[in-house]
Order: sequence, then C-alpha cells, then structure tokens
Amino acid sequence: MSSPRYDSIVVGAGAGGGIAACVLAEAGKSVLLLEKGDFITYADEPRDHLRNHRLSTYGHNTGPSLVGNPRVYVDPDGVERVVRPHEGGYSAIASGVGSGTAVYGGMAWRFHPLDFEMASTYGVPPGSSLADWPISYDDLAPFYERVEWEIGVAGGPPASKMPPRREYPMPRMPETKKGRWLADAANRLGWSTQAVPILANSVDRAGRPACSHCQHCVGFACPVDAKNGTQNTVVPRALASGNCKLEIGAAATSVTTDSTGRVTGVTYLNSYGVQVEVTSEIVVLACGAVETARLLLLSASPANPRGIGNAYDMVGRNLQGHVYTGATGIMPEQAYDGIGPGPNIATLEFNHGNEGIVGGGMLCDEFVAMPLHFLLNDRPAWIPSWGKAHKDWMRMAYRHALQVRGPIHEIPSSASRVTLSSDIKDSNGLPVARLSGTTHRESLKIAEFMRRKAEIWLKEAGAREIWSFPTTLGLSAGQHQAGTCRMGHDRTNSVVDESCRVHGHDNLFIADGSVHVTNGGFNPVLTIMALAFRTSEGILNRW
Amino acid sequence: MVLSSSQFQILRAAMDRVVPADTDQGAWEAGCGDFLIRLLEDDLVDRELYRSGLDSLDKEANELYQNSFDKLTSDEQDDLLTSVEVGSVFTRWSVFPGLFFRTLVKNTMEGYYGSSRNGGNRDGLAWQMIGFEVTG
Ligand SMILES: Cc1cc2nc3c(=O)[nH]c(=O)nc-3n(C[C@H](O)[C@H](O)[C@H](O)COP(=O)(O)OP(=O)(O)OC[C@H]3O[C@@H](n4cnc5c(N)ncnc54)[C@H](O)[C@@H]3O)c2cc1C
Repeated sequence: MSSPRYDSIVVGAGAGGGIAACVLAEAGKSVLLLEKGDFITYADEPRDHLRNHRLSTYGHNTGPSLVGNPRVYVDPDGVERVVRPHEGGYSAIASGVGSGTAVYGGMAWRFHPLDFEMASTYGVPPGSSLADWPISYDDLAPFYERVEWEIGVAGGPPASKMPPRREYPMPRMPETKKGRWLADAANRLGWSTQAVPILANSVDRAGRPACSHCQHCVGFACPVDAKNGTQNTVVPRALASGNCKLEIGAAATSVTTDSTGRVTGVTYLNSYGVQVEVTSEIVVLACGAVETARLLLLSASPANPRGIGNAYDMVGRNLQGHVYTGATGIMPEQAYDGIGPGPNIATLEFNHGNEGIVGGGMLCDEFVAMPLHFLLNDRPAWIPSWGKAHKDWMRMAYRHALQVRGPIHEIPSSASRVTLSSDIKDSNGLPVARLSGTTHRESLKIAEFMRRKAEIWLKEAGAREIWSFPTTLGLSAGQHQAGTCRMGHDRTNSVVDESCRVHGHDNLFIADGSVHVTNGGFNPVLTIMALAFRTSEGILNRW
Repeated sequence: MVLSSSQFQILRAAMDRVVPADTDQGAWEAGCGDFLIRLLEDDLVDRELYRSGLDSLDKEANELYQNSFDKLTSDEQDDLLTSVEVGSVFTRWSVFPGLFFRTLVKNTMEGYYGSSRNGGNRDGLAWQMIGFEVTG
C-alpha cells in the first residue's frame, strides 16, 4: 500500500517528535506524524501501584504493550535475558502520544554550560567516550526558553551556579515544609539552591487548570491535565495547523532509500498491520534513544549495508541514562505533606567544581512516594523486611522520611550500546534491540561523592537516622536513555552533525534523546525538547 | 482452585505473620490472600513455588513441632519463618526456602500496601494507617 507524498515524516510522537511535528506543520510543511502507541489518557490509566511507570512489577498502562515488544538485556556478568517492557533491564520510557511527557514528573532542568564541555573541562577518563558537545549552552539557550514558554514551566529564579535567563511563565510550585527545611539547611551549609522547575501549571494557563497537587504525579497520567507534555501542547498545535496528520498504532519498520542510498521516506505497519510505504522530502526520527538506533540498524540496504548512518559502527553506541543516588533520613517531626508532585528544592552546588571528581550532579527532594515504592526501595538494612517490627516502622517512617536524590552526569562508554538481537524478534518479525554494557567506574566515584552530599544535607536539615545505598554496576539507560546517535563534527565517531542531521544523509534528522553527547547532571527532557526545537528550526532555515 | 484448602490455611497463617494484626488489620483481613490468588490465577507468580513452598512449610512445622503450621503459636511461627528466611530447614524442600519466603513477603507487602483495586489494602486501611492520603 502506498499513500500520498508528504513534505516530512516524523516518527515518534513523544518529547522530541511532538515538537518537530509542530514546528514543521506550523511553518506550512505537510507532516505525517507516526506513533506506534496510543493516546495516553487519565481515564484509561487506573492508577495501579503495581502497574505504572514508577513501579511496573506486573506491567504498566501506558505502553509499550507487554506483548510482542521484547528486548534482550545483557547484564554486567554477560548473561543475556529476554525482557518484556515492564521488566528490569528493558529501559522503557512509555509509548503513545506524549510518551514519557504524559507520565513524567516534569522536572524541567536546563543542562549546565559546562555539561556541554565535559572533555575539555575534565579530560577523558580512560575507557570512557566522554566528549564535548559540538554546540554550546548559548546555542541552546533560546530554545530552552521556547520550551519553558511553549510547553510551560513553573519555577523561580535560577541557582547562582546557572546563567541568568528569562523568568518562567508561571510562578514556582508552592513551597513545602520539606522544601523549607532543606532550603534552610542548604543556606546554613552555604550551598546555593533553587526551586525545582516543573513542566506543569502552577496557575491556570493555556486553557488548562493549575496542578491539583495530587499524590500520583510521576509515573501516572495527570487527573486534571495540568501536567504539560507534548500531548496537550505542541501535538494539538500541529493538528490545529491543518498540516499534520497523526497516525497512532503506526510502527515504522524501516527508513527507505533509493539506489544511491538517499533517504526517500519510511515504511510502517499501520494499526491494522498493513505495511504502508510513504515518501517525503525530510524524515525526522524521534523514537527514543533505543528505538531510533534500532530503526536505523533495521534499515540496512545494499547502499547502507550496516544500517543508515552506521558506516562507522557508531549507531547505538554510548547508550547512557542516569546513575541515580541519594539518601533517606528520619525527621523528628512528620515530614509528609502529600503535596504533589513533590520535588521542591534543589542544590546545583555540586554539578561542577568538585575536587577530584569529573562533573557531579543535582540533588533535590523526592516525589511523593507510593507506599510500596518507599517500602521496596528505601528500607534500611537494620529494619526487618516483615513482621511486627516492619509494620511499626512503616507507621513511623512513611511520614517522617525525608529524601533527597538526583542524577549524576554519567560518564559514557562506547561499549554500552544498542545492537540488533540475532535471534529474538518482535511481533512484526523484526529483530529486537539488544542492550549491553555497564556503568563506567568513574560514574561510581561521582555517585559515591553525591551520596555523601545527600547525607550531609539531610543531617543539616535535622534528620536523625540517615541511610543510603551504594550504586551497583549496571546499564543505566532507562527512562533517561540517551546518546545512541551522538552529535559530533567527525563522522567517524558520531552519527549526526551539529544540526542533528545524520552524517551523509542531507534529509534525515534525529530529534530525540539519541543525539545527546553526554546526558548532563540533570533530568534530560528539557534538553531533548530544546534540541528538537533547534533541529526543526534548522530544517526550515535550510529548506 | 490454584491452592488446596490446606495450602490456603498455611498461606493465611504465614501472611498473618508477615503483616500481623495489631491495632491495625493484619495481612489476611486486608485481603492479601485475595490479592495473591489473583496473581496466581493470572500466572503472574510462580504457582509451583507457592504450592511446594506452603507444603514444605507445613512439613517443616510437623517435623519440628509435631503440629501443622497454622496451629502453632505466633512465636513458634515467627521462629520457624525466620529459619526458613535464611534457608535453615530440617526437611527436604523441593524449592529454595529463602526464595519462597522472600516471594511470600514481597507479594504480601504488594497486597497490603498496594492499590485496593488489586484485592489487598482493603478499604484503603493500610494507607490510612501510614498516612498516605489520596486527595485527587
Ligand atoms: C515515569 C517517568 C518520569 C520521568 N520524569 C522526568 C522528569 O521529571 N524530568 C525529565 O527531564 N525527564 C523525565 N522523564 C524522561 C522523559 O520522559 C524522557 O527523557 C523523554 O520522554 C524522552 O524523549 P524522546 O523524544 O527521546 O522519547 P519518547 O518521549 O519516549 O518518545 C518516543 C516515541 O516514539 C515512539 N516510537 C518508538 N518506536 C517507534 C516506531 N518504530 N514507530 C513509531 N513510533 C515509535 C514511542 O512509542 C514513543 O511514543 C521521565 C520519564 C518517565 C517514564
């Protein structure tokens, strides 16, 4: 089956793809936006504490579908397992219109200027693929601002460690008791802080209400549609332009090329399982870091025998995410207030400038915890896992706990990668992604350093018992997956150029987390979105 | 039936030691049994691990106390479960005792502190107990 020719095809309607579709469509280009998943709505998503994107023990309600979408995960000991989307090692974000942005916690961090210059600031740790970005913070700054205003961020002024910027369109989320304790403690320690910026309405905006501060933000769809993702901002805008056709249940299976190897469009399976071939002048891939790499590898042809953009075996390498660390403490009085989303105050004191440490990371207080999440992840070793003592502990600790956590700027390694499985196939008969590799040793050092800082912060805030867990080895990718189609000037060690165009393919672009050279010491989505704006504007400028 | 009636009795007694009743409801009253039966019926947990583990737990009780597990005192049950937890058993188990017990604990907690819609946490009482209030 073939259908009309489009100016552009965008594959994936998540964080990056939603923005690319909007920018192109509003500029008058016809866009076919293909999304493998469905719409993600609160009504269809029954807040199950065991089936969500925070705790997916028995599944999740917001994709990818548990059936027919396996991956292969290779653990640090080299043991291969076939995993389903809700199982450890799979690295699921979500799948559907908005994808992660429909269920995320919405922390809206800009990367630090030095996050773009890691190699020249610190040198390259042995065995790592640490590198500078080919663009700087200043190149991205105007596009960060567009995300903050067009998707919608609530927050206060930046910490002193960050460059000045235009204020956010909405005031910060209300200060909580925990936030105040931690801010005071940081002041006493001389650490700079700022309110955690959140991609949700703190006041009514854009025809949608303010956040209701429920307890089910991260991992769940928003009950009042106050969380700002691509599904309720740029995707509707793209559709309203009249130039964008969104097709859900449409899974791209290859990027097509002509006999010279030039990209001509994509083939996909529509929701009836019928294969469709569409052509366009421009193709933008935004399937998330794992699936974009997989799609390029699946698109091998005589002209591109190793897959598209993969002449130098770079597609899929440098898979990274975030090693997380932090600590929990018991406060003398109840800390719980149930005011969602939860993260209220952050310190950016340790993102850089730490003696003997490559980079660092951000720390902030935690999302309102599902009781089970707390119990399964945060019980200290000296509390029994069952019985009366455990029950007593839950009655005390759940409301007295104060937690700070954060991502470290992970040190990437080219051995952490996505390849195609040689034997496992998805329900369409295509080889699935195989994820392998593990944490670089330098990352463990950084995590250990940040863990101690988390403990110091809690201690200063007045916590009595404090505990934390060391980071263990393991591929981090996960919900913050990035890096598999790294940006760079040199086509022998990167996949896309500084405009996020695939080397050697003048009409193929990537607009998702894949292009990150390194993943910053912050949650990644604001950077993914800012790059998607920049890449799409770049496409238009040259068209 | 995914479990025999005697397995069911042992399960009940064991779950009630994992989350014992006190001023707040215990595991069984909170619906953890219903929760687990659904998991077993939906094939989300290992049926053989449960069947064999519950039988072995009872055999262990008979060997050590000449009584079935559900007839032991709470202290005897706790002592026995503590041994099972660390894998120190006197009879021949066909499943790993520690694995069986860790699975039982995990599933009991999932039922007790999870969403009521899954069968456990009856009337949201566990959330009330710890002070997790759902406001919207
Ligand atoms: C629970 C949770 C909490 C999070 N919290 C935060 C946070 O607080 N702050 C933050 O910065 N980040 C957060 N993130 C991460 C953030 O959501 C991701 O970084 C972001 O969504 C990634 O954007 P992307 O465009 O790379 O991929 P995605 O947003 O995942 O979009 C990819 C889309 O492509 C589709 N797709 C894949 N393959 C195909 C195909 N072959 N054909 C068609 N479509 C396809 C997928 O279905 C998906 O919809 C969170 C994520 C989760 C899951």
